[in-house]
Amino acid sequence: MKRTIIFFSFICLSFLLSSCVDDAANESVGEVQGLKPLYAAGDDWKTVTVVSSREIVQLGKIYYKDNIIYVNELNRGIHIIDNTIPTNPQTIKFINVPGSKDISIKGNFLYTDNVSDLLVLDISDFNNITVVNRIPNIYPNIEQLYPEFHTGYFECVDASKGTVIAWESATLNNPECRR
Amino acid sequence: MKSIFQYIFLFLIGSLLVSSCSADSFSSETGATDTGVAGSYARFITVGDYLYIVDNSSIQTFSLADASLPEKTNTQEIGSQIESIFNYQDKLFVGSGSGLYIYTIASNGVPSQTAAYDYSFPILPCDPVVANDTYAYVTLHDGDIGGACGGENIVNELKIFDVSDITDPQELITYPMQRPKGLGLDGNILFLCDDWAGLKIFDVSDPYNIELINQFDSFQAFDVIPLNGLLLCVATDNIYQFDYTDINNIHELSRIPIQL
Repeated sequence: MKRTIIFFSFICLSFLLSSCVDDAANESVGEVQGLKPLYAAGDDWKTVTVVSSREIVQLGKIYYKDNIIYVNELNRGIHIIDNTIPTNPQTIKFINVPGSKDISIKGNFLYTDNVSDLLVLDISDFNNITVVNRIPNIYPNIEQLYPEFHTGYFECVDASKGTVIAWESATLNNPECRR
Repeated sequence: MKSIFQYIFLFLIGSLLVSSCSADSFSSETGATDTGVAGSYARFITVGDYLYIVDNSSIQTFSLADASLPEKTNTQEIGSQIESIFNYQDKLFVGSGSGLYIYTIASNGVPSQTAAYDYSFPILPCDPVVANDTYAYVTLHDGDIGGACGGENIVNELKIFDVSDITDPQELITYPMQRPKGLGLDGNILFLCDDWAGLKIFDVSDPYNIELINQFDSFQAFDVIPLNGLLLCVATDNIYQFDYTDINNIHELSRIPIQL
């Protein structure tokens, strides 16, 4: 009798557990559109660099201060555009910040997100932009588990490959994760 | 006699200094502040000496007493699917898939919730919000292809709330839209990005009878920042700039291309 109860408990528990796991594995879906994680190895995601400019590819959020347009390149960094003459805006710098989505500014300091950390950049001189502080783990690590705001298939995260810095559209072959 | 000339001289110098401060016609709408203006999809916002950050489920307050070193002073849970935060005076408006949340900011920078308006949707749409003393404007749209936001629910509309009592927002009216996203407010003019329908400019003086002043539908609009006569409009192919100093003669100034 006792063994039956244990057995039943086990069966029930299995059901409970299985309902929590992202399903999809039980049937093969073939090739589907979804998202796949883009990884940075080790601490590479913390590396911030400034280049003269890069093309705007996937536009994110936008911020304006003192005739300068700051535009987020989704998960990749921030474009700085001189808009002193609105009929002739000039791209002047691009700050590579892996996992960056947001921008805000106070005085000479720009705040942005670097994966799960908050970064403070000194932008008083666009030719000498520096990281002055890093406040770690301000965000819950949702994107390290699954793509936020996404409904559909995605390639399961393999943490051994590094830190997820972005999710990209991709054709997935029998993905085992979906939300 | 000498002192009179001295006064005149000082007056002239003073006038020069003052006039040089007025800068160009497109200077920041709030004048000489040390923070800028964010688009309506912002999840970071600086207000005075504080930085507010919303993530999926909470709002965090950071003190910027030392702007180079933000110090977390408060965290509060809000709900789920938090999309954006908007500041108007001492108020914060948080847009989420599940509802509209209103906060007042205390003198120590900590926000306290005055209202939570639940949309009661079965599936969560996306929604930024802008507001003034009297009204809040919220766009709701259905899920993106590939699902960037909230599933297959077909909800595409502009909602106007009366927020004159921030403890009791009243939903006034809903207007159907194509697929509305970011929005911006300058006085009675509402700029609304309606995806494939482009940029729509409304006179919202009467919330029950908003009037379409102009529409630019040759691009897929995503978000806007109105800057006292200069409009930045983010679209999928360009960042467009428009001059709206004369609301009856809104015209394009430039476009910054996006590689497709």
